[in-house]
Amino acid sequence: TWCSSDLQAYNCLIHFYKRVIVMTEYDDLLATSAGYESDSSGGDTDEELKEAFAAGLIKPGLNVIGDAPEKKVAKNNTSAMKQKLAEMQKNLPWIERLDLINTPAPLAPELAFKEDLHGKERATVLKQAKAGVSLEEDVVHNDFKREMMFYRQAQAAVMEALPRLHSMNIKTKRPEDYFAQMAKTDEHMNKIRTKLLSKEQGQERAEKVSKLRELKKYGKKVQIEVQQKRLKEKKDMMDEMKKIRKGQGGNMDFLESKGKVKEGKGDNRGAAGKRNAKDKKFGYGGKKDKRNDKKSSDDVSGFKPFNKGAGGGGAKAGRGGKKLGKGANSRPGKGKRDKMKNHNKK
Amino acid sequence: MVTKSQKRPHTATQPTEEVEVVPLTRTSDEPPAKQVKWTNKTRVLVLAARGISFRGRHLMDDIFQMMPHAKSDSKMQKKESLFAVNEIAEMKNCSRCLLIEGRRKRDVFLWAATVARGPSVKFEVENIHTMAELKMTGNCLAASRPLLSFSPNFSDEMHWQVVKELLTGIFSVPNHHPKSQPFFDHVYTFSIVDGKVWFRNYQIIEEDGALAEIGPRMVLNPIKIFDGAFCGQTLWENSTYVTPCAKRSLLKRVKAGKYQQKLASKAAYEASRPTESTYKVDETEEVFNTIEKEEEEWADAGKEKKRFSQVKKIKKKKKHSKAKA
Repeated sequence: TWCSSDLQAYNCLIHFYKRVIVMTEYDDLLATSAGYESDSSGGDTDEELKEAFAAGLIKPGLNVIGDAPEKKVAKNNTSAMKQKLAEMQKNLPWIERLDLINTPAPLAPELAFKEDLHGKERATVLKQAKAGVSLEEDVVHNDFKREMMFYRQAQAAVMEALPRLHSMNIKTKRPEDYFAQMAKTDEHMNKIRTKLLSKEQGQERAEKVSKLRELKKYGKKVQIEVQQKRLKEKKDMMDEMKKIRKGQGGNMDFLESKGKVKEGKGDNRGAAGKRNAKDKKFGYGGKKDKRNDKKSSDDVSGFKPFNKGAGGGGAKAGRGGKKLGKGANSRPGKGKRDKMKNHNKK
Repeated sequence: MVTKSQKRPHTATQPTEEVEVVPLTRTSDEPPAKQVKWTNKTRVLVLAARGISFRGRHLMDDIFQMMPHAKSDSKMQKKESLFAVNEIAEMKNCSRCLLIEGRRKRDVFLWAATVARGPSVKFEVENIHTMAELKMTGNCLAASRPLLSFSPNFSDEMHWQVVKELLTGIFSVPNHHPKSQPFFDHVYTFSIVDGKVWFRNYQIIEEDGALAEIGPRMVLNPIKIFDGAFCGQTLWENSTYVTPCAKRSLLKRVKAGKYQQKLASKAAYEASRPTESTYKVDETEEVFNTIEKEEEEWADAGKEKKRFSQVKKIKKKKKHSKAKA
């Protein structure tokens, strides 16, 4: 059996579901009244929809049945325009109008070079900026190319029109002594000139600075090379000299002048010259080389042979070297001295 | 302004074979000789409407200065409709008109019209650079006749042909115009790129093709072509035209969209995150794990305790050694 609350909940549920049914019926009513049929020509069933999609009648996305929004058709009244054009044209001779239709002139090598240069500059800038924009999409380079096109179009017009005018015996070139009012005032042209000059000067300065920097680098390189060369020469010379001193004979080639005999210290005038001369005569004359080289450290000819214990093993010969070397005044070792010592201090 | 007396005679355009016999005396009351050679009497009215900013005004001044066959007038009031410009033109005896209009002190529009009954075109002017910019290094005679150069795509479609005809009629200076100067030293180029007309003005430095830009520079975006002057039926509409206001609002919307986009993506991420673990979890497996887990935990805790105690001992040792020493 159910309690009252359960009954209430059950009733609510029933009402809810009823409402749902009613709503769906209402929807059907609406649908039918609006004229939507369950089987429209587009197809409600899945197969029909698939066929329509394959045929290209329906596009992916939400398809709504109804009137498509009106496409705005731009007006283009060609016939009326033709008529108007005919009215407008007064059939004036060319000399009155001076109009030409030109394609851009062929690209001159200087212009091609400028374009290349600009392209390279922009490429480096884009790389640095890491904008991810290729050169073809770069706005600045495209602008430059567009301006080049207009320039070439104007050139083509000039190439066509001026000979034509010359053929009509019309002078086209302004003589140098013809002074008349110009479109821009002289002051303005002066301003332009100063600006161009300052730009040029700035460029020159930048070039100079960069050249100096390059030169410095190069100079530094050269300096290091020369220093190293000198050190190497000195080392070689010292080695040869050592060899000669130790009696192994070596090349004395360095004594012969190699063509560039450099003095130790360049200045030879006045007090410095006197000092130089004295140094050469008395000072640093053959620096004593008090360091061992390989041969001298291996040399044991100066040591006497050690005979204690009638040769207590050849191994001792090396170890006993200390005592052997001392001779008459040999001092006993630490152990011996310790033993000899009186440890009775306390 | 160069007065008539200061100007040199047009000796360049007159053939040198004819020798004019000038009378020895001439009275000053005689009217000046009629200009027989000047037949093409088009005049252009160059006008501005209120709401124009300095850039548009300078552009208008530059254009006016370069056209000796142009007449200017005071600013047109907003109250009068555009059609009133026709009357002003009639009064000044002008057959063509160039009206420069400004909106919100930002956008500049240009009307080019043949006054009587001819077609008119409305352009939006973009990318204005006036003659006064220091990068425009060229210079030319103020009133010399320009050469007009059009790119080949002007003959493609009907509306471009109409535009070409209008621009030719307005910008070409009539032959033997009394205010014009001889010699040909500058060329206007009109090119169509992206459906817009790009205008450039170059000085002819050398006859073999060296040029320098004089300015001004502008890009004309055609909006509509009308049947009559400032009125009438629309003959042609630009389907790709977007008003400058629409452009600005789109940009703003894109910028505003950033924050909304961020919020939306955040919400989507939160929504799509799996609340439960994505790998298969069999809950019955854990039933037997509880004790071991606890033991492990205790063991871990024990290890940590051990470590701590060791550390404590070391620290104690150190302390003791320090105290001793």
